[in-house]
Amino acid sequence: MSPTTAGLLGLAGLFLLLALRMPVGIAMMLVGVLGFGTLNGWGPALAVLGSEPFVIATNYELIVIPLFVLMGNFATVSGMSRDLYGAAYVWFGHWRGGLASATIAACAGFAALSGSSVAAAVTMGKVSLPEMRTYRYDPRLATGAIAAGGTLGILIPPSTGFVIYAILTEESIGRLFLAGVFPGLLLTALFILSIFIQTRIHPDLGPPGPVSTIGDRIRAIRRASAMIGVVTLTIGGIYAGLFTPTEAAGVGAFLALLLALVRGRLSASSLSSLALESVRTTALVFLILVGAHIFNPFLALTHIPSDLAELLVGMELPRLAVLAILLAAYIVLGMFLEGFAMLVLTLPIVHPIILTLGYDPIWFGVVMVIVLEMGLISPPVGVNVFVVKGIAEDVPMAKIFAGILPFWIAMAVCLAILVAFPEVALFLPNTMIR
Amino acid sequence: MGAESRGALPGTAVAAWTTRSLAYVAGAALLWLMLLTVAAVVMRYVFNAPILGAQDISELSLAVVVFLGIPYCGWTGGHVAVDLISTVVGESRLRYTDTLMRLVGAVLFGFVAWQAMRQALDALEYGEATNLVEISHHPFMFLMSFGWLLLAGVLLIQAAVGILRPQEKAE
Repeated sequence: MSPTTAGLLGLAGLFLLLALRMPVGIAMMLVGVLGFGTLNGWGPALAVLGSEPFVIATNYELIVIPLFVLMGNFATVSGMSRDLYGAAYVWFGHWRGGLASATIAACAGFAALSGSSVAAAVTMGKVSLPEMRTYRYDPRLATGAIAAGGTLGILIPPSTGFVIYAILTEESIGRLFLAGVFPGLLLTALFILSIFIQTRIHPDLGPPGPVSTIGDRIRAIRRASAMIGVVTLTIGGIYAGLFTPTEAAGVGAFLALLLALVRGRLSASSLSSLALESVRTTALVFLILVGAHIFNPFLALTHIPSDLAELLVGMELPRLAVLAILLAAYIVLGMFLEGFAMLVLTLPIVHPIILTLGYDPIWFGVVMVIVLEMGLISPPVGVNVFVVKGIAEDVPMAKIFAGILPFWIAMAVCLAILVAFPEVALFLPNTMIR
Repeated sequence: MGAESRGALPGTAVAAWTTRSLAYVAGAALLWLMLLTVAAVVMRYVFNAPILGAQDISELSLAVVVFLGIPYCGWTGGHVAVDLISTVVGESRLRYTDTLMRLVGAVLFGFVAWQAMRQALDALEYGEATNLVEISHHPFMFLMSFGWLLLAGVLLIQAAVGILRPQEKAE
């Protein structure tokens, strides 16, 4: 069998298995070993099944994943989300649409502690939705803001999406984290701007909340300062070259644990369920990584990724056009595929293309993560939409999607800005101290 | 449920208990990993005395978290799958393909566990160990093999539950 035929059969088989609901990591392992065996012999293929998982599960850099997961879970238990929302609330609440803006700002803050978009949407939704209901916010704006704000979790470091991207493309985790900082702040600002415009046109969407006193504002900032300290130390520590990302994650998790302890939020039962949850998240990420590391060498053997890259370059399209096609394809794929799955399935093909076109892979990582975020809130399978639906059961799906649309446009604007000014992403990683 | 309701399959309780207990061990390993990382940083910056082999120990601790976590994640249905088909085909008809996928997965992980075992035996024979402080690889490779075998078992039990007790869902 020619390598290309084997590759095409393998891809077809993979999609069939995925369509029949085989978990992504398992399907990739299976097709990878069958394909590798066909092309390179069964002995080496089987040996890879034994050795590759051990290599991945003992990779020092990857320790960053469970530790940041742990940090996010400790932060959730410690009630920091309430403090963050409280702080944003007293500062922005009296604006038109201010409670929705506060939700976005608090999500951004929480995103700096947690690498998961779902966690951000769940914790912030539980805190902010009742408040927005009390002030008679249109459920469209309220749910849209929570779903969109939650997606900041994977853009603002720490981010599981960046770790996976870094491992699959052999880029630096630390640089990718730093590259996410300014785009994350930019997107936060664009979300708030979008709320501002929406409530300007339809003031009924989000009536102003109460005005807070200066004293309240200072007290709220002080309560949130612990969290600000943790974020500054972890992300700042990576930037200043004090910590590797793994060390930053360990220190951050430990500080979040201390905070939860000091606030009396940590009981034996919350600790054990939090540990189980962290283990579960770690396991699911690693099974996908193992799958990718068994499948991708097979795909490379088939030459399909390099052939495709050559084909695209041979067409001599302007590189911006190729990028536009790729991004459009990702936005469509994101409507149907889970974010991690999309990342591992497409990167082996797309990464060589990006390199051939001369784009910066760190910058592209940020662009990809924003596109993944768009997928998280797109119909029909946007994960964050279902999360929000779970919190606001009485709001029809159509209404939630309608509420999301303005935020989705804000994301598209953010993408355009990043394409026009790559420095937004690249400034911090290019100036970090190593 | 009426009189026709049959009891849970005998394997399910065992699988739930085993995977969960091992996940607690993995959770403890994760907390230990956090403490070790912090201690290594503190020793380096405050006492200017890096912990010898902290990296080696961390790496092997990660393996414990991963390989004892994977069966639990499998049992609780945590592994990421793409579910588009259920919007077209009803759940009741999907149980046959679900079962088939689980059986295929179980066979695969049987092979994976066997290869992991071979790795472990090789490592034992050649005395493979970590770089800085010599910790033998083989116990962790046996653990890996055990984790995969357990995942194969989990998939088998889930396949049986899906066919014999379609109304139940594993945990």
